[in-house]
Amino acid sequence: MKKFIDIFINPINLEEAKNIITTAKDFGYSIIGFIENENINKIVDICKNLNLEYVIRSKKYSPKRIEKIIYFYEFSNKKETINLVKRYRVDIVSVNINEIYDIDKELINFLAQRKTRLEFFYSEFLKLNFSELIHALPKFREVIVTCLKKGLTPFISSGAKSKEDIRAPREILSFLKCLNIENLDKILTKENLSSIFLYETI
Amino acid sequence: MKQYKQRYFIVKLFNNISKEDLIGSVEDTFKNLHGIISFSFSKLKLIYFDEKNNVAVFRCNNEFSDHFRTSILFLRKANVIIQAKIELTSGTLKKIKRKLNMIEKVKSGNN
Repeated sequence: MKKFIDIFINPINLEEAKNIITTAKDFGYSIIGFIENENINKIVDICKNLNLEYVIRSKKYSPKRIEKIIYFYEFSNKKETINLVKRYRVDIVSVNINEIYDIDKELINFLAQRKTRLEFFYSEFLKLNFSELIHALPKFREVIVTCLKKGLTPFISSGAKSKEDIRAPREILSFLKCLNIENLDKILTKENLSSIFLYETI
Repeated sequence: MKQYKQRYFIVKLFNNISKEDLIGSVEDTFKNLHGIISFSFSKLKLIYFDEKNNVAVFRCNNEFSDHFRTSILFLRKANVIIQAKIELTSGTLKKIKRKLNMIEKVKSGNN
């Protein structure tokens, strides 16, 4: 059975974190990811109580691989991203829907060489109206297909601020299939996450 | 004439919604995302709705099951996003009925 991952939930407080994690489990996710903050130990306890695995997202970049820590960077512009990925080991570059138009082949090629993945948030797509979707979807498809061609399986996370933002992984996969994206086997699964930890171990 | 296989879906809704609104929302979302032609070929139909437990059963042609799932993902009623989850899919009604009985039993047990 596939283990589905949602490596970015973004709750505003601890109570909401509990709601989101419980909902994510109900929707079939096995691994949850969240940003390192002051409530980290309590959130880890919630995951452990619900028998969920977890990963912690950090910006304290380190050359050393630490178990369950992934290093991420929030995309702002192409130049800054390239500079940062050159200087530090970054596992994931998170891209907001408004910034997707700044992603080009050159950047994807560069990230593929560094084994840095792109990450997109499906909750942002759900909030778009249909005319905004018409503009965003072709670019989204183009970026995902280019990433997959370069052997760089991107991450699709919820970016959920509340439990209402969570959706089932099978529905997300169907959405990607409707965009004619192939090779979706790894895209939402633990296998994709594990590959981050595979190429470099402590 | 080619006979398409049917697929049944149990959908759990997390917002309160009436039967008419649910049918309208799913139809509108499906048509907006995939077009009227896909909608007509999908033969999508609501075959059961339990307003008390917010559980619905839909049937559509197997070829359009990904289209239906995507419609459930983007489901909205007059720009209000509706959270829903497909609990079970099956090619036969037998499994669907068994699952619905289970849901009913769990609910009556809780009450």
